[in-house]
Amino acid sequence: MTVDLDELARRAREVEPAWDDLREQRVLDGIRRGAAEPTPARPRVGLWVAAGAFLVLAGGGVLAAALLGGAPSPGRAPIASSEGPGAAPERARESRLGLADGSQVLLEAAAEVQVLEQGPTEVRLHQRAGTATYEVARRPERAFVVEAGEVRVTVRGTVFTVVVDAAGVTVRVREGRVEVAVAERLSLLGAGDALTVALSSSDAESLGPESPRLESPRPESRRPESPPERPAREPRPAAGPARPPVEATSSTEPPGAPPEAAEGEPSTPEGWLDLADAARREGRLPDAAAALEALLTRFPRDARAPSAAFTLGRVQARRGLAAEAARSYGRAAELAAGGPLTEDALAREATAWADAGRGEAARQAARRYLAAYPTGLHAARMQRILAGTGE
Amino acid sequence: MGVASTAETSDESLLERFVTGDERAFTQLYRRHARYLAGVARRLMGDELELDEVVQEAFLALRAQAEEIRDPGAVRGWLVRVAVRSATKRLTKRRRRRLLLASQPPPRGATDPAADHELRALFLALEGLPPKLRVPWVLHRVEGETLPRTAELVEVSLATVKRRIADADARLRARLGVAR
Repeated sequence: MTVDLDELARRAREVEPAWDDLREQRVLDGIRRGAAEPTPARPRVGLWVAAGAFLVLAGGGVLAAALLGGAPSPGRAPIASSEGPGAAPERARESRLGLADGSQVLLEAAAEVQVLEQGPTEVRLHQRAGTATYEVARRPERAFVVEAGEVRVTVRGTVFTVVVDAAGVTVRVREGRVEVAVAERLSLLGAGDALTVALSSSDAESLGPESPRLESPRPESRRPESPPERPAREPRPAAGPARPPVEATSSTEPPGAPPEAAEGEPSTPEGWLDLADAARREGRLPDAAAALEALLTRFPRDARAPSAAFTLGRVQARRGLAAEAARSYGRAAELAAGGPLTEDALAREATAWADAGRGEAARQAARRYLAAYPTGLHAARMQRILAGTGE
Repeated sequence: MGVASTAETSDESLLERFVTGDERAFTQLYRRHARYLAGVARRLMGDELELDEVVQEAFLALRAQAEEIRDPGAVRGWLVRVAVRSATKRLTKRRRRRLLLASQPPPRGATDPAADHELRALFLALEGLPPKLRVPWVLHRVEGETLPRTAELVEVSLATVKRRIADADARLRARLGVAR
């Protein structure tokens, strides 16, 4: 072997897990489940039901005991997506659930809803399957949130229905308005609106083999109120076998609908990620970069776009293209918009600009980092960049 | 719905809020540290087979012991310590199982991002080390922890940790055929 051990250790430092927002959410769900197990938990203050308490309501029956009885120890609490349909308890036809804030949930056949939290400022439920209609009491001081797969519905006093089935998650609003978040994308639905989102692969595992993808909203649905998508960038030329990215979705297309894939090229984000992984594994870094660019161009709203941009930054850095890396990290920070990648992406952007000899750009990025994370993990390094003494 | 406040609130403040029953404060702490912790766990374990469990265990411990944490400003360090303990335990079990079954370490998955030839060789060589050498070596050489901090994380004396890292260095060089 030609490299020395220190060099290998330095490269090993760059190894990162395949950790994205969806995985992060699944692990968090597992922690919540684990925390709700009957362990010697510390007492909580307040009249409300203990935060994180895990209650399963299936078809109207309160079935917490069913889960508490057979659940593993907290150290190995199950991750939500690992449960198959067989884990679902027997369901009744229809019933009504009253919540502490006065809201009502009408559980239709096969509905499976978990109450994750009932507090003075937030009521949060997780709908795993079936159809449930929520009649939410008007309480401006508290947020009423329903999570289903990667869809998060935040309510402002309304009546709405959530359907979780093999086709995905559908939200229909009967009265009032609701906010629907799918990863970083936000839509505001009013009375009569509906939105359908296909399940992600992890959620789909428990319901069926359908491949994950974002469906177009139904005709009656409104366009996202404030999509965080960046303006379309000019695609860069692809080097090697990965095909060049196509133009970004035109404005006449429904939001979220990816363009048709050309023959022989992947039609899903997973396909492009696989291409990129294979290219990275084989050391074909330009091909990896091209595949990641293609993903970002074709699926800019996909939940994996931020981590793809982050990975692209790392690939460009390994290619010695510091300025390109900085741009990719900047893009990742923007796409992640406050998500778990943002801090590292901002720090790496500043460092990469410094590596590229672009002092002013590095200082600007460092300032953005410090404004958002004044006591962050990389704050000292950012201060050094600002002072012109580091990196 | 935004998470802007995540950046503006200290860990200490979030921990205090969580102790008084604010579940959202816990979520903020999780969002802030989970990815970092996953990275540490990934490099310690050499793969992702039990990565979710390590992260999960650390945050469950945080929930259970939030009131007893002596330095609430050092939440990340506290989580890393729990993750190191969890990873060491799991690596020990794996090694024991491998020795009992006289089996080879599992091959790396095709999607392993670390799967370039030399890095793969390094992680394979690490698989051959006992966890008491492997973990301090990764913490010090890969994660960049100082020797005193590494000793603290693996809960041995400074002298012991230096000896173990030196031992790991020697074994890895021999296995990988790299010069001193």
